[in-house]
Amino acid sequence: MKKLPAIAAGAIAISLALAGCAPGGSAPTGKSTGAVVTDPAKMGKVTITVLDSFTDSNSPIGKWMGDIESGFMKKYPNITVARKSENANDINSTLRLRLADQATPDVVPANQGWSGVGDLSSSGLLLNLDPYAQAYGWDKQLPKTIAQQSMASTDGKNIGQGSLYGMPINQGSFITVFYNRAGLDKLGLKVPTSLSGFEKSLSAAKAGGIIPMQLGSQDASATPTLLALQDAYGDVGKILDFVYATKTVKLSDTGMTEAANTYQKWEKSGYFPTGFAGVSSGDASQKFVDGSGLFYFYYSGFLPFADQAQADRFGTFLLPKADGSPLTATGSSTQNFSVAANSHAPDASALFLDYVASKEAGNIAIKQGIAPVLGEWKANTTSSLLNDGINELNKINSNNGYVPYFDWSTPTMLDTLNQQVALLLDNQTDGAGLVKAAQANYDTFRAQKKG
Amino acid sequence: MTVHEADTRKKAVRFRRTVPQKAGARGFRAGLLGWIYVVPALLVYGTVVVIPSGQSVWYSLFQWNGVTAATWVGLDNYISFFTDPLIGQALSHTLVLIFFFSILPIGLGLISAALVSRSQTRGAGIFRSIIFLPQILTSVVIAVIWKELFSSDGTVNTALRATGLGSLAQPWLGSFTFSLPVLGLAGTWTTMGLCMLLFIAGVGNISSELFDAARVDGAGAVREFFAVTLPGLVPQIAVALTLTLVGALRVFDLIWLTTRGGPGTATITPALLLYSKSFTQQQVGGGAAIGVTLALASLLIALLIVRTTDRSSS
Amino acid sequence: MIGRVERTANYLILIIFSALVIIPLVLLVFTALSPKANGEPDLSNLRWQNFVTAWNQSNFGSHLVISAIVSITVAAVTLLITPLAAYALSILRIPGHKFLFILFLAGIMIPLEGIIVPLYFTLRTTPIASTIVSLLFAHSGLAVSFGVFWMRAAFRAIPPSLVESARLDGASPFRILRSIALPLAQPSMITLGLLTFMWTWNDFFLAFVLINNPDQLPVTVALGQFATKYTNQFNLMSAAAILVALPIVVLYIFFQRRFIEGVLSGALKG
Repeated sequence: MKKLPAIAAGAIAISLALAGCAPGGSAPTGKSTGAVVTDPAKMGKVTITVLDSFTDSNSPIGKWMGDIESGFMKKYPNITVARKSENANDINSTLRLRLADQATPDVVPANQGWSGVGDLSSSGLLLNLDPYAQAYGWDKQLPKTIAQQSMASTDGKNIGQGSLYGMPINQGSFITVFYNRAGLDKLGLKVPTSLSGFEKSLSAAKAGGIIPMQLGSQDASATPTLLALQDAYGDVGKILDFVYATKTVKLSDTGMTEAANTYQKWEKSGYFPTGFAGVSSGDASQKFVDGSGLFYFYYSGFLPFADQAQADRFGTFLLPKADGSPLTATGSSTQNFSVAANSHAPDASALFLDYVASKEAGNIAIKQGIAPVLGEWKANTTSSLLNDGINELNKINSNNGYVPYFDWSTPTMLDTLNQQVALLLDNQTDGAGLVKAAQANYDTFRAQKKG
Repeated sequence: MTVHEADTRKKAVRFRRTVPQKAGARGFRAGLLGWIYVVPALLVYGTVVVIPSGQSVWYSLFQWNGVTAATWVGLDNYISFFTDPLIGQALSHTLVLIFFFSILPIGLGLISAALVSRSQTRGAGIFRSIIFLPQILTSVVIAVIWKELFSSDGTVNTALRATGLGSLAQPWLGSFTFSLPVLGLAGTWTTMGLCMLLFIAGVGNISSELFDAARVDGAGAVREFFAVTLPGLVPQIAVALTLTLVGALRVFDLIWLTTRGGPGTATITPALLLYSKSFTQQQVGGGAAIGVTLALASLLIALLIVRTTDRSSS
Repeated sequence: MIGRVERTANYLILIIFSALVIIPLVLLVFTALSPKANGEPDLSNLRWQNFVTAWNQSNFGSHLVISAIVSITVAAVTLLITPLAAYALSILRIPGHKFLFILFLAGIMIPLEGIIVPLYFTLRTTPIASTIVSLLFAHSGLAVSFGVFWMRAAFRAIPPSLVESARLDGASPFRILRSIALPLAQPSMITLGLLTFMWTWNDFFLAFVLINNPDQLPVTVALGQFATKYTNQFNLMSAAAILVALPIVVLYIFFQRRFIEGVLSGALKG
C-alpha cells in the first residue's frame, strides 16, 4: 500500500495528458436566425417546451399560465405547448446547465438582470430576438423602460441596453404592501398615506394584539420588504443608474442603508411573527391569506387566494415615500420569457413570446384578477383588490416610477442580499454592514466586466 | 453518491485489504490475452473516474465560466481559498459536522459496546435490523424526516408546546444558532447504529481470555474498558473514523434539501460551495479546486488512519 | 451465564438505540397518513389516499420506473464487468495486475466531488447528455471500483488447488471462470448486486447534477423537487418519501442478512 501515492500521482499524470487542452469551446451551436418565420402556417407541426415557475396551479398566475397554454394551442393548432412548472429556486440554480444542454426547454423563464438575461445572454445561451422584434413590431409595442429590462449588450458588458433577449409577459408584478381590510377596520385605521403613518399602524397593530406584519424567511426570501423600503427612501434615478451601471453611484446614496436600518428596527420592535426565520415564504403567504397578520410585503398577483371573495378581503397600497414624493415601486413584468439559443423551434417559440405579451394575454390577466403591464387599462373590474392594483400601476406609470429589482445589478447580488438580510434580521449586522457587503459584491463584478 | 455509498464501499475495502494473502492460483499464465477480461471494466472506469479526476486538477487551474474559452490562472483558485470568507465558514461548519457525524456516534457506539454483554442476547437480530435501518435510506428521505421534525410547526415544536415547554420552541432550521447542530443530528442518527453494531461485534471478537485475565486482576468495569475493550476495538474505530470523517466532509444532499446553506450562510458546506461555484456562479475552476481539495483530504484521512492503526497494532 | 443486571442492561441499550432510530420513522408513516396538510397524526382517520395523491401529483410513477431501470441496469452491468476484471486480477494474474489493482483501489478513495465537475462538463457535450443513459453510464463507472474489490476477494477465497487441478485437466481460463469461479462466488455476487442496486437507487447528487431534463429524473431528485415545491404539504411529502424508500426497505426485509453482512461484516473481520 505504500506505493499508493506514487501510483495515484502517476495515474493523475496520465489522465492529465489524456485530458488534453484547456476546457472550453463547448458553447451551444444555436441555430442561425437568418430567416425569421412569423407565419404560423409555415412552421409546420411542432412542439415547444415551456418552462415556468408558476407551480401553484390555484394561484392567479398559475391559472393565467394555464389559460395562456390552452389559448395559444387553440389559436395555433399546429403548435403544441409542453409545459413544465418548477420551483423558482430550482429553476434559477439549474437554468444555466439546462440551456447548455441538447435537451433544453425552448422557452425559459430567465429572470431580468444580471443573474438571468445578462449572464445567460453573455454566455451565448439565449437567442438574440432583434430579428423577431423587427418582424413582429415589438420594438414599437413595448415601452422603453419595460423592454430595457429584457435587454443586454451583445458584448456581454452591460444590461438594460443593446439587443432584446427576452419578452415581458403582459402582467405586471411589483412589490406592494397587502393589508387585511378587516384587520385595519378593527383597529380603526385607514390606509396609511405616509411612511410615518405606516409605522404608526404597525405599532397600533402590536398594541391591539394583531401580528403587524406577516413574514417568512426560511428560504431566503425576506428581501421584498427591504426593496420596498429602499424605494421609500431612495431616488429612482440613482437606483436605475446603480443597477444598469449607467453612472457611478454609491449604494449608500440609494436609500439602502436607511431601508436596512428601518427593517431591523421593525424586527426589534417585534412586528414580525415569532419564529418567522423557520417559515418559508410560501407558508407565510398562506398564513397571511388565512388571516394572520395585518400587512404583508409581497409581489402583486402572487398570493394564493382560494377565490375572488377571499382576495377581496385584502387590499394593496404602495409604501409611501419617506419624503412624500410621488410613489415608486420595484417591479417589472411578472416574468421575462426568453428563447434558448439551442432551441429546435425558435420560430414557434418567438410566436409564443409574441402571444404572452399580447392584448389577449392582458385580458386573461384581468380575468384572473391580475393587473396587465402593457397597454392601457382601467380600474373598473369587479375585484376591489385588482382595482387597487391597476390604480397602483397607473400611478407608477405616470410617475415613470418603475424601479428595477436591485438584485439585477450582479449575477450573485440576490445571494448576497438574501444572506445579508438573514444576518440583519438576526441582528448580526446593520444597515452599514449590509451596504458594505452589497457594494463589495458590486465592485468586484463591475471590475470584472471592465477588465 | 450518497454518504452511505462511500461509507460502505470504503468499509469493505478496509476489510478486504487486511485479509491474509492467500497463495492464489499461481502458475496461470493467461498472458496479455487475459487483459480482455479487464477491458470492459477499465474502459467504463477510466472514462467515468480516472480521466475526470485528472481533469479536475486541470480545470482547477483555470478560470472558466463553463461556456466560453477558459483562462489559465495557475494556483489562483487555491490561493483564493485563503481570502474567501465563505470557504473559512464552510470549513468551520465541517468541524461542527465532524463532531455530529463522527465523534458523537463513535462515542455513543463505544459506550453501548462497553455496556452490552458479549454473550448472546435473545432477539438481538431484530434490534440489529432496526438499528441498521437508517443505513439503507436515501438522504432525501432523511431530509424529509428532518424537515417534519424541525420545521416551525413540526413535531418537535408541537411536542414542546404540548408539554408546556413552548418557550423552548424554535424555528430550528431557520436559526443561526440551531440549524447546523440540528442538521448534524441527522448525521448522528444515520451513523450511530452503524458504529454501535461495528463495536459490539468487535467486542465479540476480542478473546475472552483477556477479559477473564482483567477480572482476575480485579479490574473494575471502567478499567476493563480502557485496558481491554478499547485497545481491542482499534481496527473498528479506525474503520468508523474513516467512514464518518469522509461523510462529514462531503455533506450536501441533506443541507441542500433543507436549508440550502441558510439562514444567511449558517449551514454552508464545502460541497455546497462546490455546487454553486461550478454550476450556478460560472466559477468552474473554483468549484473544481474545492473538489480536488476534498478528494485530497479524503485520501489523506484514509492513509493517515491506515498508518496509525497499522503502527498501533504491530 | 450472564447476570440478570447485565442482561437488563443489554436490552435497555438495544431498546434505547432502536427507539431513537424507529421513532422518526414511525412519525414519518403517521404523517404520511394524516388527513391534514401539516401532517398532524390522526390515528382515527388514516388517509391512505395520500399515497395515491402523491403518486399522481408529481408523476411519481414514471420517476420510479426511471429509477428502477437505472438501478437494475447498473447492477446488471456491474455483475457483468467487475467479476471479469476481478478474475483477471486474482486468478489469471495478468501482467500488470498489481498496477491495475491499485488503479481500481484509487477509485474507492476518490469521492464523487473530485470528479463530478469535469464529468458533467464532458457528458454535456455528448448526445447522451441529460438522459438516463448518461446516468447509468456514470453509475456503472463509479460502481467498478467496489465491484472489482468485492469480487477479487471472493475469487481469492477459492482454494487454489481447485483451480490448479482444473487447469491441469486442460480447462481454458474462461471455462474455469464459468464452471468454478462464478458458481463458488455466487453469494458474493448476490450481495454485490443488491448493494449496487441500493446505492444507485439512493443516489441524489449525481443525478441532481447530471440530469437537467425533468422527464428523466430518478425518483430521489423528483422527491427533492416535490419537497421544495409543496413545502406546506407534509402529509403528501411524507407519503412520497415512503414510496421512494419502500423498494429498498422491501429488499432489505428479504435480504437483510446480505445487506448487513455486505456493508458491515467485511469491516468487522478486519
